[in-house]
Amino acid sequence: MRKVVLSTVTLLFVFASGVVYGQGYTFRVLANKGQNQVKRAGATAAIALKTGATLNAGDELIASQGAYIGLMHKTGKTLEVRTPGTQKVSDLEKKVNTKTASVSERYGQFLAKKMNEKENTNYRSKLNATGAVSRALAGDEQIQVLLPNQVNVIGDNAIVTWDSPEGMESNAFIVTVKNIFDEEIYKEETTSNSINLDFNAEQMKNDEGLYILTVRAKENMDVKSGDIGIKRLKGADASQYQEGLTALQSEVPEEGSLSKIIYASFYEENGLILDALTKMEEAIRLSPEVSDFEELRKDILERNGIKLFSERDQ
Amino acid sequence: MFRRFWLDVILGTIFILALMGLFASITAFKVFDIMDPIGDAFSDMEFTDVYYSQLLDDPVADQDVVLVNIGAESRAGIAMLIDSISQHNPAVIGMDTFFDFPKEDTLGDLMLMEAFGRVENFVLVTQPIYNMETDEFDSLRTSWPMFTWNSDSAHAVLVTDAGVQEDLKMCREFTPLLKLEDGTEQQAFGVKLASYFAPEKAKKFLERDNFVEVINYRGNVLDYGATKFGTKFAALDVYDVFGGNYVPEMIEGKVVIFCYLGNYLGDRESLEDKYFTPLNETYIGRAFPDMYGGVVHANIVSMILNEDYIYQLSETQKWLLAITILFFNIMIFSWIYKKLPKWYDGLTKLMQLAQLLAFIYIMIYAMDFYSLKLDLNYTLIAVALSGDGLEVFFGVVKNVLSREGRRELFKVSRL
Repeated sequence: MRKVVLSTVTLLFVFASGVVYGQGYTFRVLANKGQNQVKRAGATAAIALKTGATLNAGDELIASQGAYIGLMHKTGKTLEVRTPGTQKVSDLEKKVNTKTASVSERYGQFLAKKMNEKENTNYRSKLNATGAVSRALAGDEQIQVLLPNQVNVIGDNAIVTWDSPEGMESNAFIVTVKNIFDEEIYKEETTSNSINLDFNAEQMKNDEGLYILTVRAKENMDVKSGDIGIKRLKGADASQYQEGLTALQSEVPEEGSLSKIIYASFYEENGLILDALTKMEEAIRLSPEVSDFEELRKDILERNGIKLFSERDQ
Repeated sequence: MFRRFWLDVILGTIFILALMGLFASITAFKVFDIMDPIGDAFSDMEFTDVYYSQLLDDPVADQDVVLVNIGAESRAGIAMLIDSISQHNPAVIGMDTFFDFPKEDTLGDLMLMEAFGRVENFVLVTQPIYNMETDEFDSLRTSWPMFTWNSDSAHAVLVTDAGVQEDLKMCREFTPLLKLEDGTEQQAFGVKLASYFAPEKAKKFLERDNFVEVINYRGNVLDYGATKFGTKFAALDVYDVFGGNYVPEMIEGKVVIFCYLGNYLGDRESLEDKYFTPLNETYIGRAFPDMYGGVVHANIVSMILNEDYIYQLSETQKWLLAITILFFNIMIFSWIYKKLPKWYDGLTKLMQLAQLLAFIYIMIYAMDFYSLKLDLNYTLIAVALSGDGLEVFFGVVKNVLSREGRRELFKVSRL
């Protein structure tokens, strides 16, 4: 009888511990590098993976190219995910090593690993590094993008312009936009000296709102601009400008070249240089015959230390 | 006869200790170093490095410490990072960065000063400066006073062989408390941060009253295989904070360390404030530094909060152990020398080898089970010298000291 009671109590205890242990999360995200996502159990769409978030058995983890995700299992053991693609959390859980090996086992494994190490005698496989660095052929940053290195923007689109370097045979450029994880999200080839970025386009959607733009000469990819960081303001960062903008919109229509000059002035006063230059560029395109608009654009570039126009200094 | 045996054992032990002293004094001049590249490679290695690098059982992660990378952010950017994190009520924020002077960007300085002022519990690092002439820490490097008015201070010094910050450096130990010449004390950064989170644990740690403590490493942060334990602390990069790409609960009530973890999280190219640690996958010879200074401090905090300290033998205990083992070896080897002379070389060599292997295993076992860093270097050298040393003692020293021995040596007829 005593054995039966003891066994029942033990079984109940084991069951209860299992229930308690089974509650809560399967993994917690300790570190998260890359544009990774999680698809929750039963959800139709994936959402951005956040550091500190918990993952449950039914969820799916979507790791981007170049991802590095550090996960902590509910037991405290850790697991790293560096392979791009979708993985079920339940599958990841199977990879967690929750067993504790004795020190003798670990010592034995270490010795076995050492004994099985083979020296790589294939010299061809050892020729991966060069004793050199990479630089553009005629110096860096030969294409000048007419923007500061870091710039904020609140508009849905932006017109970015640049100067052609001297000596180019064809005026063809390749513009690339990367996200903060150094992943290329947009690429366009153009024969003009400007590009219109649409931040609402599918490929430009970006939770962080951070973009890195580079312009290269098509004939020589080493001839390029510096990286331009563009931050699209959202939430509280954007709302500080919204009141003034709404007031302006109630009084001045957005269409028409003169209106665009007024908007450019508003944006410049608020330090939104890219929005200001975009409005100026739109005004110039609407009224190319008005040379004053071009002068006003140059004023903005000079006032903000982007470019000095020597012919105007004379 | 019995008395003479014990006299030989005692004198043999003393002779081998003298041999150890002789070797130590010769090697102190490093006269053989030019012929000893292997010894040079081993010089900065300890047996416990193998334990941490290869044999440590996978430790559990620590959720009480969160690291925030400041990357290459300006002072204004760091101020915004601080404001963003401090709104989620961390237990304490530690800033592992010096802001020595005001900069031309006055607005950035003001923003930083105000951000520091808004943090309830804030610790800023210092560096006690050692004066070799007085053998005292006679001054204290701090950030510019406009940044320190609302902060507690703690030293960020780690024990290394580096002459200057830019040198390559191995870090195994730190000093929990440094006393300055003027009588004031500076707690270590990790100790001070732990004292805000769990004051009783920090107090208990300081009561050990050790000038130097060994760091019981737990792991690293996004290190791409530089160590076996690449993710043991939660870490946020600049863009995570600015983009709100984290769950606020991970900050609440935690120890948050703002530090440099590369220009971006997972930056393997930057060497600024990067250390070799015993966790390095390559534990001997040429390797790449594996851990940023901020993560070393995080490991110290974690060790204190988990009360998972490392115990060490004192220098006296190390010598006592070495002399005891040597004495027993000499006793057994002397008996073999007298009773089984033909077996002496073979038996003693086998026994020495078995002992060396056993002691290495015991060192690993002690570290694993008792967190005891059993430094048996003196014992290992004593065991290695005991067999041949005793032969020299019996074959040369004793014969030289006896008339019969000297006569035998110079007796031409023996040929």
